[in-house]
Amino acid sequence: MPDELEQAMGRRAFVGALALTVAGQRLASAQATPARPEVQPELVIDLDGPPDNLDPALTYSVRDWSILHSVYDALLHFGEDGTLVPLIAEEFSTEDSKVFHVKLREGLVFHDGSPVTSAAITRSVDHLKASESQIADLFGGITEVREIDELTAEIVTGEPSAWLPSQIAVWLVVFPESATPDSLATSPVGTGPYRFEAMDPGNSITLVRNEDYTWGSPKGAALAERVTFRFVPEAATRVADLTTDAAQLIVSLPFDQTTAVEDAGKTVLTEPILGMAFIRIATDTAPFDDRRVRQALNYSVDVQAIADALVGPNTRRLASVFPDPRGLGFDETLEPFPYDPDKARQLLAEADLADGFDSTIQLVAGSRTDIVEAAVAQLAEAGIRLTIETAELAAFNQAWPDDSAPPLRYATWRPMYDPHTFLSLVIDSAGFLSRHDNPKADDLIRAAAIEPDQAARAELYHELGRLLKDEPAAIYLWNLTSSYGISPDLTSWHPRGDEYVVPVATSGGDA
Amino acid sequence: MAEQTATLAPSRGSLPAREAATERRRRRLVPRDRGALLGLLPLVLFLALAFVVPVVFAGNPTAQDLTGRLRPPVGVGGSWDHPFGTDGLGRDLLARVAAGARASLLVSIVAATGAAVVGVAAGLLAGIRGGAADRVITMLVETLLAVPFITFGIVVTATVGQSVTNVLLLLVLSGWITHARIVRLQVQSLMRSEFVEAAYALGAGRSHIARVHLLPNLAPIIIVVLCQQAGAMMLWSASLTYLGIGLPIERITLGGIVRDGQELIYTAWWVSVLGGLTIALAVVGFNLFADWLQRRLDPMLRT
Amino acid sequence: MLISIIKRIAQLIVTVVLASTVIFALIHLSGDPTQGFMPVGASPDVREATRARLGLDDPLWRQYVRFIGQGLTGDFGESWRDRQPALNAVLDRLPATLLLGSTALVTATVGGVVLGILSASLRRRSLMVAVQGVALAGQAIPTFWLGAMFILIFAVRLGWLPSSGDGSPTALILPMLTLAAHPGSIIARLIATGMHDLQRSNFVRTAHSKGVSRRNVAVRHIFPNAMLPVLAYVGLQAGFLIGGTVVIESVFAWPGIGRLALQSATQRDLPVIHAFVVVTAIGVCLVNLAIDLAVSAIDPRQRGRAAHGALANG
Repeated sequence: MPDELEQAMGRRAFVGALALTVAGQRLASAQATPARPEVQPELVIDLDGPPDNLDPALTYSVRDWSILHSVYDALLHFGEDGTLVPLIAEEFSTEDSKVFHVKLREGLVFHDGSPVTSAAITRSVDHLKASESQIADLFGGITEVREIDELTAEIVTGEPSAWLPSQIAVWLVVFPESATPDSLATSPVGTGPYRFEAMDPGNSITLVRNEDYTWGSPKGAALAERVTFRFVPEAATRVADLTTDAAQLIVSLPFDQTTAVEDAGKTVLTEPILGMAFIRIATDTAPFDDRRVRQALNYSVDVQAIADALVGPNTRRLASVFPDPRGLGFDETLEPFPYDPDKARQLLAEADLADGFDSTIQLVAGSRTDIVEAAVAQLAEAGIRLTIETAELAAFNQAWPDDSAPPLRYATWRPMYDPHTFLSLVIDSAGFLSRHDNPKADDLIRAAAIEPDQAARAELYHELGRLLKDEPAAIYLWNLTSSYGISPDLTSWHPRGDEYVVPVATSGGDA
Repeated sequence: MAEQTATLAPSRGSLPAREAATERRRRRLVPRDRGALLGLLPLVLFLALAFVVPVVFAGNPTAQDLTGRLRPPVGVGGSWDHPFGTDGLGRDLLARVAAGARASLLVSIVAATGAAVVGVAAGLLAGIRGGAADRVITMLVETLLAVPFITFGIVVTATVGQSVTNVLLLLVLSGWITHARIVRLQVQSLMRSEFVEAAYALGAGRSHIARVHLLPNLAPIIIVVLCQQAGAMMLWSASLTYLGIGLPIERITLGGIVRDGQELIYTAWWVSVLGGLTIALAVVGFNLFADWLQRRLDPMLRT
Repeated sequence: MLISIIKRIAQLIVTVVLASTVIFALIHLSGDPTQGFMPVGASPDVREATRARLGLDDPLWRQYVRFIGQGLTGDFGESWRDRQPALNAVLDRLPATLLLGSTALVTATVGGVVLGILSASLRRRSLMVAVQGVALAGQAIPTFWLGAMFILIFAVRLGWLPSSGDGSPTALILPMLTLAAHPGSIIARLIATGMHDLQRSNFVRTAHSKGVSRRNVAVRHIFPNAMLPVLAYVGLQAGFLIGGTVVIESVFAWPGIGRLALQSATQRDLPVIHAFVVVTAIGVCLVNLAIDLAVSAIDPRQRGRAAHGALANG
């Protein structure tokens, strides 16, 4: 395995992507052979709702991807330390971030028995680029897929796209020739650790172990012969399921219910993920076009106190828009804003707002209102009087770029292995979701988008991070964490930085 | 909304004479003063919680204390500083329940009154005019009865957004049906009564008859239904809040307290329990009050 | 009876058209529906392509005509979200709701009748007050809170019953009881009041004076007549009962159409909401037809009158 890795990494530019995120010894750990526990007969996982879609081109949520990556394999895979490792690609490399060389592993077969060949790559790219695809933009830069032979291919893009491998790891899964739009939506066939068995709409999805998944996949080995994902929207009910042994793994465990889970003899796992919580500040409207006001907002919120009370201990604060060391652009030297209401008042006074001002903050109905209420109470003490407005999800999403919508909005963003998507959508002034207008930031974002070398990209992002600290684009809150309740005998499952719940045994990243 | 139908069953409505006698007998069976007072107790308690607590007790429903969150109520480990304990943001729960009770009460009463106004107007129109007006109103009522009301609630809030006005409109839209049905039937039977026919013969107009002859006769039943609905609407707006489609979160409501408490049910049961009990107190209070009113007001029973 | 059926069907068509119109208007007048079912980062180009594919860029009136036509012919098209037939999405999940709704209705009726009779016939005042107290409480407790309490007590503390719908028959019990609590207590009150009044009514007294036994009077005369308001109530509330399952289904993770409707509304998945509304309207219509039949069986005088629908029932 290390040999394969070296082959894969041996090529120039892409090494940057891997080497930069973390040091070499962590690469080795990602490759450590996962523990091989005995396979349980049955495993029930409570998700917090049904997946929206199973068709890879329509997936867009953690719930979707949990199912997707249990049934399918992508060309690449995020290791537990956030590095990209080849999955069904044996080699994946690029020299200029424009031509990506792919060599597939030999002997892989789909669940229907057909072999995995380079035609599968073309098929998937075409599917992701098709007009029905909802993520066509992300793959629109791919101009062609050249099938060199049965197992090798080249993915070619028009401009350097060093961020593309991260997108590939999320969406570019392979499916057999027999797949139809209908089968993709209702009975997926892939190469992954589980075969799709059945779907009970609105209730559950059942998967069974793929006996052929024995090639030492870095994704890990199936944990159970049979896995049922159940959809349980109410957190208290998920906890009840876990404590009564109706489920062995539950997601989105609220902080306040962790003691109940522990008291019942179950295990709580809380891990940081590659995502962040923030209050986006629209810079296109007064007084938020003044960076002193945006700094004052950051100084007025005691983020640490809110995090300790409502999110959980050990929550990592956010200094700018790069939340996690596993993702590109994280800068550990950048310090988060301290809580300093005096400084905030002073900055407001400098901006001729000594008496404070009134504004509105928007959030999604049913999301963490307590966090927003806590922040609003603290902002009020600095004279920033906010009205809270809840919007239903679709309306909230529609209002991202709307300059008549409230200038402040509480939001979370994930996953962020590569910050390109977030930055180009939300921070770049031309982004579809943007109300941010900072030419210096635009330059850095656009330069990083086409920079082929990952180390150079990281440097650009570090500069962007410092800029967005000085001229804030948001009230920076924290790195998101994800909490799970698990049955104590489920020791070989570990949370992932992208939150997908794929029921496989892994080393846990600290091996 | 299910609750308000207790009085509109076929055999009831305004009580015919045969039942007047039985009603008098029943009242003799249940001692009037004691029973009546006992029945009013829940509503009095609820009103005391809503209006006396804020005067006597200085707690602030919005003041947060992140270091003092989830303190238990007095009697189970808490102190008199926060008699009902504190919620997830360290806010005083007694003050919040009191504020929520006032807000929920206001919403319920406004909505129930609105439903009565719309419903009585529609019922009068259908009953007096008959013909096309009657058919249209009947059709509307049938339609609203056949579509799960919550569907409209969901779609309205999902699309138009959350606001006090929207919630009030939704509640009125669901509540007016009951009034319309009852009033229409009553009017139809009253229109055939001798005194209305006499008034017609004397040349009185429709609006005069409605005002002078019909409304006074209808008033008792309308008031009774209104009280029942006030309780029902409290429950219904709480359900809307639970589904995330109720009043805006800045409004402290009982439904909101219970919903917040649902997340805390394993660690801080008192939040949802105290909120839920307050809702129940109000609903029981309104129902018993409506029963009491019904016994007192029914025109046939006036002696 | 035939007239009754025809009237019900005519009303059904009116209901479907009116309700569809409201839903169509709300979904379309509140912004771009693709915001609901497409990812937030989708570009304007991708959105435009989707709108074109779904016919959302046609003039609104044309979309409306097509939409109403679809509703009346039962062809709702494909879900905008997952591109599966919208009607199937509803029908797949209908059995779960029907199971929950019908068992809850039976429980509510049986439980309510038993409670009602107890409260009307108990001689001991303390017992009567206790029964009435239960009925009052059942009517006053918010269902979502009751559901959570049931889970806490019966699933977590006592471990008797599963906390959510896992497919086993025992999983039905808690959601069913929660859903039945409210209508059950109303039925109890209706029965208690009705029996109380009827016991003293003229025709019952006549029966007594003719020498019919107490028991016979109760079974033959009082009880069936006391059931009339209960039937009227059930007919009136059929729609609301289906609505009530939305809350219960969320609390107990019950895979019914209520949760589907909630999810579809959030995602602005108009074809599925449409199918949901039409299917429930048909359901309510069928329930009311059945009630027309039951009423005319109990009380022949109501025959024909029951056909006039809700207003006439009152």
